[in-house]
Amino acid sequence: MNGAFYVGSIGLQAQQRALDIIANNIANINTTGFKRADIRFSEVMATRAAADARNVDPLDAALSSAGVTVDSTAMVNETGAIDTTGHPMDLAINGQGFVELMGPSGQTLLWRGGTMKVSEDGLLAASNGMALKAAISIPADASAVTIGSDGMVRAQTADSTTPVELGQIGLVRVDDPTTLARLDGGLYRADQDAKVLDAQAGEDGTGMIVQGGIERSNVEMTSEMVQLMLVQRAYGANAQIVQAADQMMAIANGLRR
Amino acid sequence: MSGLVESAVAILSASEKRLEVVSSNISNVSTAGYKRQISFADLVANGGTDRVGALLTRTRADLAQGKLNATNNPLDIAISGDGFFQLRDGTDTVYSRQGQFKLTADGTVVNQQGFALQQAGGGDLVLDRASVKILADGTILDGTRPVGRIGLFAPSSAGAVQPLDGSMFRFADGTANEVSDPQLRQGMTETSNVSVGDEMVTMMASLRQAESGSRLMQTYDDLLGRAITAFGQAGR
Repeated sequence: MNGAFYVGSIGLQAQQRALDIIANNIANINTTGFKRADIRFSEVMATRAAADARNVDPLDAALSSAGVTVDSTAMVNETGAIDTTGHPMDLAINGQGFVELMGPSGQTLLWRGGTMKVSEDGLLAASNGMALKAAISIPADASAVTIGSDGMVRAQTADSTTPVELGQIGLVRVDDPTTLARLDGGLYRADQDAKVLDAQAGEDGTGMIVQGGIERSNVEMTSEMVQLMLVQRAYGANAQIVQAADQMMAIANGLRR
Repeated sequence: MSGLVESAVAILSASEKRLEVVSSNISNVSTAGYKRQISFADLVANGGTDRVGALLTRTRADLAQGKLNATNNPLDIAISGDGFFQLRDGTDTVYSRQGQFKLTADGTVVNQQGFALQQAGGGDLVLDRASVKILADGTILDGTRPVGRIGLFAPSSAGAVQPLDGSMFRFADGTANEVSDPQLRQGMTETSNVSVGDEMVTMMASLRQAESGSRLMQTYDDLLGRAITAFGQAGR
């Protein structure tokens, strides 16, 4: 059976998936804190008898390729530009660190910052309602909440003349961003084997905390457009292959008139 | 007589093989480090008889350098110039120019297929974290502290490179010499050296080849049919 049919259709599928990834990147170009996904193609080997491959005539040994597969990784380490909003409850990180959030069922989720609010039980929380793991309680009478670049949260309360320290937002660092699973709403979950290290703001590339700022997405329109065009052309080329394989079968079928 | 049939079959199957090679090149047009396969026909003589020998379609890899493409991924490493990365697949050693690596749970640097990258002096490369700086000569700096060196290897002769597929290679004589002046580029990948135009031309050529094989077969069939008719009438 003609292998070109299958290899061509696998190529079509891979380019289709790459197009999905690009579409998602472009759709989220204005999403705060969004990290673009990077497309990685790698070849699929059909058969490779490692033990006896040495004895095979090198010229016959090739042709074991069975197409291509596509994979993507979120480019978490690329920091987006930080927009100043002036809103005191906006938080951004100008490095590679994450803020830890308490998930609804107690699991730890990683967050790149965004808009915060004070939750019903008085804790500082992300806008989706998940409290910060640092569990910083904001008194009801607090005003003028400030967050230092080291993460220290201070507020003016009614019974004191100077700002009171309420707690410090810590950052964590993830060594290998490929061990992070991307969730909805700009959240990440670390795999079981991921190394999540506690760090202070400003340490080891984690970056400083910026109050009144929002991190923009790190999607670059020009590079996404170039990728899009490449994918489109590669898809067309793979379609040509399937067509040619079909033509070749037609020739074989037409042998007997 | 039957030599004609054999030739036609050989032409048809050779054109199919050529199309298969084109299809794996095209499907890997965006695969980093992929080296395009070139198919060529090889006539195998058949023990001194006057019959047509088997027509074999063979392939070899075109090792021309691909373009370098910036990805900003710290463990994407492209080779500019000579040499291959040495990878360990179980107990087997393979060579590749596909420099897209990642860390496993224990810090071993592996490629997409899970083969471990080897250091200059041999041994798996193990890193504490992915955010390292890799210099052009392969030295890896964690902060300012050198933690290892990626080796690039070349075979004793260029002809000793055997393709296992488009992106993995083996050295025929088993000897790998370290490249004395390696040129690595961190945060880049080497694009595949497939040219869609060339592949389309090969594809069209193989289709026409198949057509000519089928025409040969039909002509033979015609002749045979006519012969049968003529002999049938003569015998009446």
